[in-house]
Formats: sequence, C-alpha cells, structure tokens
Amino acid sequence: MSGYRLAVHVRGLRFGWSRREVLQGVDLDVRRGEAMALVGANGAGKSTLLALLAGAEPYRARWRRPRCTVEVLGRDPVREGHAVRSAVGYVPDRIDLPKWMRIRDHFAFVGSIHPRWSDEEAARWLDRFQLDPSARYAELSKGQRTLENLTTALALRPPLLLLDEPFSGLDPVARRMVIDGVIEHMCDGDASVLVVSHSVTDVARCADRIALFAGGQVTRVATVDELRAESERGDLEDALVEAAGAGRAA
Amino acid sequence: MHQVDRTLVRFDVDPRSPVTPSDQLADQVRFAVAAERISPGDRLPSVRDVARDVRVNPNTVSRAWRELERSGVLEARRGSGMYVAAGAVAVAREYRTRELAERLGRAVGDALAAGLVPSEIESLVRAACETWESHEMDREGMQT
Repeated sequence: MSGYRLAVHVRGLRFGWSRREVLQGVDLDVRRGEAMALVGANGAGKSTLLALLAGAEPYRARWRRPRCTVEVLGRDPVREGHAVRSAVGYVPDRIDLPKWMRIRDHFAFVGSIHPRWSDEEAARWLDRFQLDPSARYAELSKGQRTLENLTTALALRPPLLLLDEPFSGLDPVARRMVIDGVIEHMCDGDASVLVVSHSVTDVARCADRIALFAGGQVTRVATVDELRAESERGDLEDALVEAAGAGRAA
Repeated sequence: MHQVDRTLVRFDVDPRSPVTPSDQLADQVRFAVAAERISPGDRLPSVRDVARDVRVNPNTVSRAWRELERSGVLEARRGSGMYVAAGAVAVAREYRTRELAERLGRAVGDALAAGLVPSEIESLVRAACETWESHEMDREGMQT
C-alpha cells in the first residue's frame, strides 16, 4: 500500500440499492496527505459512497466487469477487498454493537481480525478520550460511541480515514476530541481523510478541500479558502449554501 | 538562536473569522516579528506542534509557513525546520503598517457612514489609545 498517488480515485461510479440509482456517476479524487470534506443535503448518497469506498458494501458484483473506476489507496475495494479493508479506518454514522459488549471485548474482536491493529495505540486513544475499557456499550453516550469507534479506526494508523458525520449530535467536549483525533491522524505524514460533515466550523478546521455533493454526483470541488472567498462576508456557511443552490439549479 | 517559546507568538485560529486560518497564523507570526517578540534566527515550533495546539489541519500550518517563506519572513533550513529570516523585521513591519491601515480604514469608513465627523473620529481614536495604554500599564503594574 505504498505505490498510490491518490488515496481515493473514483470515475463514473453508478450505484443503487434498487433500480433507482443513488450514485449517478460520481467523480472524486482525494490526494495522498489531504483531508477532503464531502458536503451535501441529507439522503444525497454520501454515506453510500463512503460505505462503498470502505469495502463495507460491494459497488458491483464480483463477476461483473466494472464500467467505472473505483480505487482506494490504489486498489479495487471489491476485487482487493481484504487489502482495502485492512488499510482503511471507517467510522460509519450509525454504530450498532451488542449492548452487553464491553469496549475491551470489541477491541479484542477487532484486534483478532485486523492485521494493523495496535493495542498501544488503542490504549493511548482510550485514555485521551477518557473512555473506560470495561464500560459496556449500553452505558455509552452517543459521543462516547463515536469516540470508541474512532479509537478502533485510529488504532490501525490507517493510511485513509473515512468518517461519516463524526461531529453530529456531539457535545462540544466530544467534538473537540474528535477534531484532535483527526488532526493527530493528519500529522502522520501521508495520511488522508474523507469526512462527511455538515459542521461548518469543524470542516474549516479539518479539511483542505470540499467536495459538494448533489443529485448523486460531486458537483464541485474547491479548497476551503476558495469557497470562503466567494461569500461576501468571507463566511464558509454562506458560501456553502450559495454553492448548494447553484448545484441544484445546474 | 533559540527555539521560540510558544507563549511569544500567540497562535490561535478562529474558524468563523473571514480571514482564512492560514492567514490568521501567518499574521500572528508577522506581528510577533514586527513587535520583536521573536527575532531573526529564532526557530519556529514545528508544523505538527502548532497544528495540534490550535486544532487545525497541519497542511494549513504548512501553507502559512510557505507564504511567510515566500515573502521573506521565514527561511527553511534543511532538516531542522523554519527560522525567522534575516530581513524579516522590515518585511513584517511594512506588512503590519499596510494591514492595519486597511483595518483602521474600514473602521473609519464605518464611523463616517454612521455620521461622525473627522474631528469626532480623531478624538475617539485618541481616547481608545489612552484606554489601551492604561490597560497595558495596569497589566505591567500587576506583574511587578
């Protein structure tokens, strides 16, 4: 997993759970060492895209010839699913683990199947996030569940981190901890991030570029600074709202 | 030549500000150089340290450092980071004058638009200077 230039490289990706396509020809590049935010209306297909990139869902059947290009760290998430899944840290928006499960049990499980798992890294992040390894899943708040899941992703020191709405519904303390995790990950040289988020100030802190998503496609990619400069008051939220309006009209 | 103490440059990023985060960081270095809180030859904290401190993407900090290098405030030394450049003070002071003239200009524009006359604005500026000076004196008095 070292010979890649783009952490994510997608061209013409179409996908649907039924005949209705959720993704209608997605083009997206995330460079190595870059943090990209994926921004768009709810239900636009952003979470689906992330799940396909993570190899959590196949973007096509194994026996079908691909009509599009999907490369994650230079590999195909279907044909080379194992390689992709073992190099990607994926934090989905909903995390369902059995209520009785302790954090420690979850870690033991992930550690037993994951080649990159590091107990030391996991312990370091648990401590930083002030989580008790013997706490049961039922006892964790929404924020703690996100942080627990982020820990399992960060403990892999993954070349690519995929985060689905990691800031939503969190209190300010937990949000700040998530940011710390992302920043620390980005300090790791070549590490890349693709994060789905509506939280403008968090995006402004974490992301280099923003991909606007509408109608099952990426309608535009721009740097955070470029977008901000487009709004009259230099406000990123204003700029995003305007850009979303333009994307819908187009 | 020494490592810059992080208290000498107050690194801080407000993500809601219309000034981009990398420009905010660059300004903080320029103003510290212009006020001679840091001097030529001093080494800046590493990109990662600043990124963790102020909670921004390290690429943002790198961008600020690159811009400062381009404009002659910082110089890179191979393998050991970023240092305040020899001619930095003059560059930073020129920038400071230009930047603050613009900011003050905007405030004066607001005052004129609100109907104040120039003499009233001048006395307001003088009063503000006096308030800040007495503030500074209080702070120094407390420290000794």
